[in-house]
Amino acid sequence: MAQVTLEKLTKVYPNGTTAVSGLDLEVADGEFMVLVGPSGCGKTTALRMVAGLEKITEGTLRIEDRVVNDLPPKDRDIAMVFQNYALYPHMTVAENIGFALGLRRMPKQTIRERVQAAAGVLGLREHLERKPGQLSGGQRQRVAMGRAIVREPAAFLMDEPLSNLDAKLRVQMRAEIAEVQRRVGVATFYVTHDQTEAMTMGHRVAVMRSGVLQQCDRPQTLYDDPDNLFVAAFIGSPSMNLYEGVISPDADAVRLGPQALRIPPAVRERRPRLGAFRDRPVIVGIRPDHLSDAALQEGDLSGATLTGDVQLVEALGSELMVHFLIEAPRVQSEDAAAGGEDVEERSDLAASGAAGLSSHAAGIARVPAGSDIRAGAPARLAVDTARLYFFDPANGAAIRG
Amino acid sequence: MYESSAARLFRRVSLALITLFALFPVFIILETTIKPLKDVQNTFQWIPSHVTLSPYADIWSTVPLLHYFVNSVIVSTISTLVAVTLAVFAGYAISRFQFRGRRTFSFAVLSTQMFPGILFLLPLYLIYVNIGHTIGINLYGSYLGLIITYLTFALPFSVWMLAGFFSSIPRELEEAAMVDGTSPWGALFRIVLPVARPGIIAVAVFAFMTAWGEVLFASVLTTESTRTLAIGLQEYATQGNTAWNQLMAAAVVVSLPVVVVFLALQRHLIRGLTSGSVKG
Repeated sequence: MAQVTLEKLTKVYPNGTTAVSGLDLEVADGEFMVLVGPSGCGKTTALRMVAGLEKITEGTLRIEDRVVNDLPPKDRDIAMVFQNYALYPHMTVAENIGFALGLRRMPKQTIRERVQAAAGVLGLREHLERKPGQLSGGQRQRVAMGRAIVREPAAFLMDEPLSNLDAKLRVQMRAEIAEVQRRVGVATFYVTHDQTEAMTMGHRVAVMRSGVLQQCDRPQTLYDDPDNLFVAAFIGSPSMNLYEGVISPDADAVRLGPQALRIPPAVRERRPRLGAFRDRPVIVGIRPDHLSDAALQEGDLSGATLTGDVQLVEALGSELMVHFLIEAPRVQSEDAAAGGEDVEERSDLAASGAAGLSSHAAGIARVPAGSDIRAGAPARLAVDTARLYFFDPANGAAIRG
Repeated sequence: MYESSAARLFRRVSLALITLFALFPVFIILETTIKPLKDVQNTFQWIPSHVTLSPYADIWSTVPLLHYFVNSVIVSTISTLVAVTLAVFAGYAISRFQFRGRRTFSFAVLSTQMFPGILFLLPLYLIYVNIGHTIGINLYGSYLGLIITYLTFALPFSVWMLAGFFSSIPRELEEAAMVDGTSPWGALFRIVLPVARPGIIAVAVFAFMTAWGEVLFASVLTTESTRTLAIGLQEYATQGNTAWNQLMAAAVVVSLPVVVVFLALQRHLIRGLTSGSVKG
């Protein structure tokens, strides 16, 4: 049963800007749904419409099969965690957590028990009599969670709840929130701009851009089979390498500048529509994970390598991040630029490295730590050609089926 | 912070001098109140030769001080309560809602502060007298007239102060309260007002003190029966003689309530405003 249903949800502000247009989403009972996208994509507006803090311009919002479009927040049976926590500074932790229960005129004894239980789940028992001002960032975050779970609502709404924490605490709280959500089993709507959070926490992830839903699926599916260039570039870190290529007349290879990659028969069978792109340009996507040091590979690599000039090698201990340039036209697509977090940085690198040659495009490869690849020298990279991505340059849609 | 010993010496000496300078008049006042009038009128003595508490007893009979005191309490308290109540709602509206004329309204409120008070004295007097003549509501010489006058001083400042104060409270607090189950009014009363308490108290103290110590308008707009303390103090000086010791004793008695109230409330003024509610 769908706990929260958004049907063609649309938000147009009085000044005419459309923040969200025709958003369709369903969150099942107990499901952790992540809404992700770059800033300004309308994800927070969508969440605020569900909360009742933002008026719905068009569309239908159902919570537990009840249309709640015109209900005030207090009658929607939802709990929300805010980006800045929004704890009541004049109340103790216990009062903060129990506030909503008090408003529902629950007996004091019941409130105390439920606050205790929530505090136990979140490890806040010792801090119940403190004021929010005396707590650390992580503790405040837990109090905000406590305020939500004590309600036992129909749905949790979380608006970038981790973005105010430092990197280490964020990783820890990420796991904690996911764990708490699993234990209480409440449908959750989680908004973030961080694709790592989306991938690690979400049962399903909805990617939004400019108010429009791009794709909504399990994290692995988004990674393996993105619907379009934007999702491909947005999901995954480092983000996907994108090049402009041309499909060979036989559709059995793709040319990237002077180099070519063979398209294995299995890929052609899976993507018969590639045949329609014979002699035509396509956008080729290669994930950094699917590139490796050719020197460390065995077997026949013909038609499955790219040679690039290495600009920079970042040693992460377990692996090396190899930043390289290859001679191939750069992808001039807004989708790719908007999606990839580090695309801009990479373009800068390409511009400086290739002395302004726009025929060169940058890329990143994730290679094993044992590799001998050094900056300033050419490197031969093995490509997992079975996992190439192809996109239509005209509209950015994935070429498949 | 590092501070050289010379700098520290300079800081201590200058602060001590400034403190002495500020406390000296207070010392003179207190000292005068325990001297007989004869000694006050003679050459100044640092240490009183005759100590007496009779000025504190005499002040109540020389002048109807208690009556004036009650007048002051009535006028100051009511104008403070009304000013704070109105300013809370006006300030909240300016800070939170977009409405037609919002900017105009807030600047109109501020512009009343640009003129010296004495400019309003004569117009206000004429308006009060004329209202009394035409529709029979007696503003001149009444509590109501003085309360309205003091409201015109306190309200604009209070509205601006509180609007700024409310703006410093993150909107998410009210949104969280509404999601938790309050109505918009409930969010205001249960969350915003308690959080804004230091600001509201500061505004109340300001409104009370302006009304309590005001002389100019009270001297024109009051009659014998509604006279306030600040005016009543002048009555210790008669044509032939000034009872300095009683005047000073009355001044001490008049100041005490304000000082006591201020000390009681300063704890709330200092308390960190919205610390800890949100990040930072």
